[in-house]
Amino acid sequence: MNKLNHLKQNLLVILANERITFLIFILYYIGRIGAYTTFGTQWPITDKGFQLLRMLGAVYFALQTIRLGMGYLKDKHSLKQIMIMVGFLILAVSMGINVFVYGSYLYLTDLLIGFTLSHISLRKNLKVRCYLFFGVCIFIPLLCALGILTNLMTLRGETMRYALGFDYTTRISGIFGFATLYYCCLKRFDLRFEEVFMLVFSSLLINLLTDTRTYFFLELGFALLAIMKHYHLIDRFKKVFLAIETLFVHFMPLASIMTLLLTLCYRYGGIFVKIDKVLSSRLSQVYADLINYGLYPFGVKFSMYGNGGSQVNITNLFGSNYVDAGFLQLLILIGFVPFIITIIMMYFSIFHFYQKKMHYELFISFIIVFLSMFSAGMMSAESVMYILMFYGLREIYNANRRVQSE
Amino acid sequence: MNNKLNYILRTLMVIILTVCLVVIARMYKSLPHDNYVFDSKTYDEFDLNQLNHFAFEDYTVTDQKITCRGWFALDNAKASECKEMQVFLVSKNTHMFYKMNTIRQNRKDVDTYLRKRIVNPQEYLESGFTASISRSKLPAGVYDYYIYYRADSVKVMTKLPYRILI
Repeated sequence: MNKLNHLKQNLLVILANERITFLIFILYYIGRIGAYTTFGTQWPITDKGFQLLRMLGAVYFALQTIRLGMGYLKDKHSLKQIMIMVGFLILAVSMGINVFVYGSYLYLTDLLIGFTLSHISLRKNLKVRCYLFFGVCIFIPLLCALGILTNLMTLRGETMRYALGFDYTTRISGIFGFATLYYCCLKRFDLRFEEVFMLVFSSLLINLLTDTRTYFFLELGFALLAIMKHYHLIDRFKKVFLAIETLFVHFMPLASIMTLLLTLCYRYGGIFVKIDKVLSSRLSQVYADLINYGLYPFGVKFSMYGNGGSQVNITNLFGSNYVDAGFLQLLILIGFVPFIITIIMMYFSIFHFYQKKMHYELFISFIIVFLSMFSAGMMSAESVMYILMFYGLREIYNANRRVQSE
Repeated sequence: MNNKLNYILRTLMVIILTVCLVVIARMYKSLPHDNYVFDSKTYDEFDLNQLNHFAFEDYTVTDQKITCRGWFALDNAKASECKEMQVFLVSKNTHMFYKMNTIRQNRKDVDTYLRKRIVNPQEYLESGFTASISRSKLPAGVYDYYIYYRADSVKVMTKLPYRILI
């Protein structure tokens, strides 16, 4: 009995250690991103290694969630606190059911990671992610340049797109895009001109190699903001920025619903076919998925085929059926129950940031919500949306407690 | 002032959200299910490299309808093994699949049509089909013909060397 207690104590000490938590997160991320590289096709044994890392992460963050969740049960609760807890419980359980439906625990692990890491300061989270992503952006293409990993290629019209060691071209631009977002927010957009040049130069190179427009324009936008900040233009246009912020905070849930509505409108042809062309067939792909697989409370299982080099023989014939919108991935793959709860929770935590004037948290949320409309966004391994969501909810939860104790 | 603005914006959001949800529910309910619905949720089980023989005859396009008749058979399977055959029109730009009403037939006119092209047309006797689709279902564009073919041991989806402009 004593030994068991001792073991439990040791486990709790390990779980309470921030460094170990980040280390496990890094290992989990390597396991996750490793599956998106050509490692697995060249050395199938590495795939098992990546799988082990992912499993380690899932187990560790499940334990962390139980430990932290138990902590919340000890206090007396107000109605608001109970509602937040029940919301989290329904979300976790419904994503747990989805594991059996969809056959993958990655999304559930992302949720648990979000919950766990929201207990550590956001700054530390961003810092770890930022350096990790920059590292991945250098390491994988370096292996590719040295001939250790294959450089897969795909065509968009006449344009050649290189994957630089990953399985699909947009992967590296996504990771780099998120890394720059976190870097800029950490630096509060006080970038030196050298940094702006490097940011623009590297995004230019990635755009020329991978032909990814979204992240290219996003990074140019970051550079523009940094220049505006340098010349104090942000203060001059403060009202405009605050107006955009207010509109974003209030109309955030509409972004997800409008994405779905736009997809369903594809059936009317005309202008929607033109929009579909501009959005690289995103509407028609998801529209076909909605017809073929439908919407379910806890998601549905089907194989997604993107235009990546490894699946080209299938997509040449059937076309891609990849759901290229974070909101719709959540809705179709994970189900409408987790979708509704996530959107409500996101809305409340974003509103909390707004009331507390937490502009940088709102900026990151805005970019991730914006990306979720036409790329994996919040559902990608790089996103911190769940961390932000729980971060905001936790503050609401504790604010309530503070009021009570007063 | 700020509280009032918040209240107005919030109410506006809830109204737009409700309207959108109602519209979405109606649209989702009336989604056309005449597109492709395979019994599987993965394409991996399709055999993409099966050699086949195909002949397309009699294809009629009127203002209302597109009808086609032909034969399709796999090289290494008997025509009698076929369990399901389905012809699709697939939009070239969007890759949307439109299911044609396909009727499998034991067509005796196989000799008349295929005599000049294939050595032994009688082998195709049982693999005839007639497929049709209403033109109102198809948005304007270029379409490829596809055939879905299922026998006991094999599942095939093949793009046919025919294209139609609607």
